Amino acid sequence: MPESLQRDDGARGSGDELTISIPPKAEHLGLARMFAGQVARHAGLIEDDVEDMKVAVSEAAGNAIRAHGDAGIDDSIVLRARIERESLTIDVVDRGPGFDVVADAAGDLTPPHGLHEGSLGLTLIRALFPKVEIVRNQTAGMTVSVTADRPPL
Amino acid sequence: MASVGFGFRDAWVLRAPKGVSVIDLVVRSRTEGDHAVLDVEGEVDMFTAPKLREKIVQLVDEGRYRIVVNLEGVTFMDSTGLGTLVGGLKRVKEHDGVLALVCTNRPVLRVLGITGLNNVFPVHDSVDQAVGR
Repeated sequence: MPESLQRDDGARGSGDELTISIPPKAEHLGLARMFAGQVARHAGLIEDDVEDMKVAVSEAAGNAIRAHGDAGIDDSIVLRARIERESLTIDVVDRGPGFDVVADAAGDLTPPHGLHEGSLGLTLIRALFPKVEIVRNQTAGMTVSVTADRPPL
Repeated sequence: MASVGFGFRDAWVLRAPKGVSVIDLVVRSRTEGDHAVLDVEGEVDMFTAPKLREKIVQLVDEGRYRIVVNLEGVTFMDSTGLGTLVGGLKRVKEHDGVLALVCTNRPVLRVLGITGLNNVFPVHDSVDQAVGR
């Protein structure tokens, strides 16, 4: 554990932010999952929650990569992990054209095409992490933020 | 090239070696009685799912409509993987066929359960059970 997260009084460290930039290629989704898994373990999540975080981040990152590909954007997507005292949030940021998110979208059984209304991807993310936030960026694209609670000390 | 930056106090960069694929999927086919069995190992996501789809399509094109997809070796599956399985199910259904799954591992059972697809596919604990032995 990094020295910055160790305290003599046993208090849990927080305030770290870790960032990874990934070229918009599907072959790099495994890297996105590795990052999510390692950060989640570092934040102290139990193994089941670590696996859930990998699913959610993989869904969001896959959508971001697809959005860049569809729009012909070569810029990397960005994954940003924010470790707070009580929670871990991983943001997946893209610069694609964006999409409309309808609350309480129900999943259907057709092959998914991104995180649009009715997609399995959004169904999965919302079921795993109800606190998910999906917002349009001021400049371009979307940010999908997945938040998990850290176990109490 | 992927890069990783750690913020806060320290900063260093890691780069993925060129040409190294960090995830892969292996799909092997065999026959058990009148069933075609696909043994799948690895992670099924947007990048690797086409390989599974290709194998299922190939079987259907060969007239094999009783298919068992053995997911015991799968360590990760996302919505693209699920969509591939659904697509396969639709293909065999057009020929009154069956597509069953073998799965006892949490990562795959979890996504099947969340999406309700565990009620769409027959899910078995073993290939023997799936082929009715």
